[in-house]
Amino acid sequence: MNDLPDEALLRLARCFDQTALAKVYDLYNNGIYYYAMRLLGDPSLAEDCAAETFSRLLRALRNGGGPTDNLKAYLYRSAHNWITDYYRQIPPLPLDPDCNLVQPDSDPCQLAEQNLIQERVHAAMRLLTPEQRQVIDLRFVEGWELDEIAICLLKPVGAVKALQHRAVAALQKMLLE
Amino acid sequence: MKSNPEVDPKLDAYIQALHRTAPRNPQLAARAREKFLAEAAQITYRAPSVSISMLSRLDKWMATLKSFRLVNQKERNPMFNLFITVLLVLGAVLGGGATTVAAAQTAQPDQTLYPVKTWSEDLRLGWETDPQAKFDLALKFTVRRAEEIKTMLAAGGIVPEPVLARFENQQQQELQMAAGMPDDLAKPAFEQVHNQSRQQVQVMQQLQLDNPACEQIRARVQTMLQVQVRASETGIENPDLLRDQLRLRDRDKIHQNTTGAETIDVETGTTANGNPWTTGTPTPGSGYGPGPGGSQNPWTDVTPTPGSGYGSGESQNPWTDETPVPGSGYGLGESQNPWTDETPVPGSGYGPGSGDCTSNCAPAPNSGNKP
Repeated sequence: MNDLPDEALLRLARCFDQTALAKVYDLYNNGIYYYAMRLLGDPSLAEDCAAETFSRLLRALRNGGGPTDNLKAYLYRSAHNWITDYYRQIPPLPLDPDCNLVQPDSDPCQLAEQNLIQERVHAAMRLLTPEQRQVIDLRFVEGWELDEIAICLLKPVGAVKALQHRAVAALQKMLLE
Repeated sequence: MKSNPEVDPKLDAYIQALHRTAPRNPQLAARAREKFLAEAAQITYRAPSVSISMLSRLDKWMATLKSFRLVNQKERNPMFNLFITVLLVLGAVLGGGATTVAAAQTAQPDQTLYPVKTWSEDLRLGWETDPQAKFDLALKFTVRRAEEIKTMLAAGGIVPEPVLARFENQQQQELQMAAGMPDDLAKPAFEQVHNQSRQQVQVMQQLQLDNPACEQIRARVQTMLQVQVRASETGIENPDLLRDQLRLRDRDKIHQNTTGAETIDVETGTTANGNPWTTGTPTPGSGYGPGPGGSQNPWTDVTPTPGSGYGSGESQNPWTDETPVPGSGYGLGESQNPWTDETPVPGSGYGPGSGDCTSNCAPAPNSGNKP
């Protein structure tokens, strides 16, 4: 079960094989949580996002829909849609300084400096468009390839490159100038 | 943490900060996992039904549409939007325009869509290239005008001046078109104009009118139709003659337009000098036009007799009573006769000469002539 490719895992998940579903959850749940955490900056919201993403997967499979080949891209797209919907209802708030984005460190000076940098980066990320933010996160934090991001965003690779270029230029302007 | 070669190292240092996230609460994570598995266990496997669910059908439709690459791109090509916009606008304009034109075909002169009707007629005539088809169209449109005038008069309405002017222009236009055809086609065309105009005259005569203003308009329209009947008769008998008449009329019209002296009274249809022949050739005896007209001058062929009051009229000759002084330029003037003082020599060619005077005239004494 551990070595099953996405397609085989999906076939089993479609038949509601509990082991396959647990495997899918274990494979991608943490990634989804941290992805949501970086974009939302709130652990409870990130938990909600991850839970809702997997719940949507179950509903989609029950209705005969869901992903056909790329499960990872499907799950991240679903999570991103949840985050976008959330921001549509509630505009993004400034980051809570007590949200402990950084693991408490022994050195308070270093911790303060890291918190400061993180706050700046998150503030700059929030000024990007949702798609630019998604590309930066998937490309530079999750380490995805451009074609994987293209599948996730349902866009051509060229469009993803353009989004990345514009996002990097915007971040450079906000953080370095 | 892997560095990103695609970005500036300084910026990369900032991006690396995104990696540092507080660890997930393991209890919450475990609870979320249990919840998910419980939800999954509740859902029992259902074999796909024979007919696909509504949502699946929708998904399939969407997939089909996406295969056309029309809706799957969130960032659409701006040219696509422009193309769709232009297409919609063109569809609306052309579709709406065609409907309006179709609806205008039954409009009467007092209705809003009437200008669209006349405009569409002009357009159709302008587009038609075949002379016979163009002539047929012109005939059809003239009948339409006559029908409109008849309908308005019958309803007791006053026909607007532009409608009458257009009717007259269309009559002239159909004559011009018929005259422009070769003789073998021109005669049947003139016959068509003739028959049509006569029918219209009869229709106008049969109208029962109470309003004097309508009566005036009817009289004017009948005059127009009668002129048309006469012109077409001329065309049937002698097409060349009518062509000449039309040419002369056009020349007059051009002359009139260039001098701009004549202004047409819209109410009476006459010019400022009272001439009612603003467009057609005046009828003989009407007092207008170049013909013999209403003058009483009987000297149409030969030179008027002196004192008749016609001819070249009063001259500047002051010698009315006496003999003009020689060299004044009046009188008999200077001839080549050198015998101004004495009696001409016999045989010189001057004087009374020998003539036939032998029997009746008595020779003067010492003249050398004896009986």
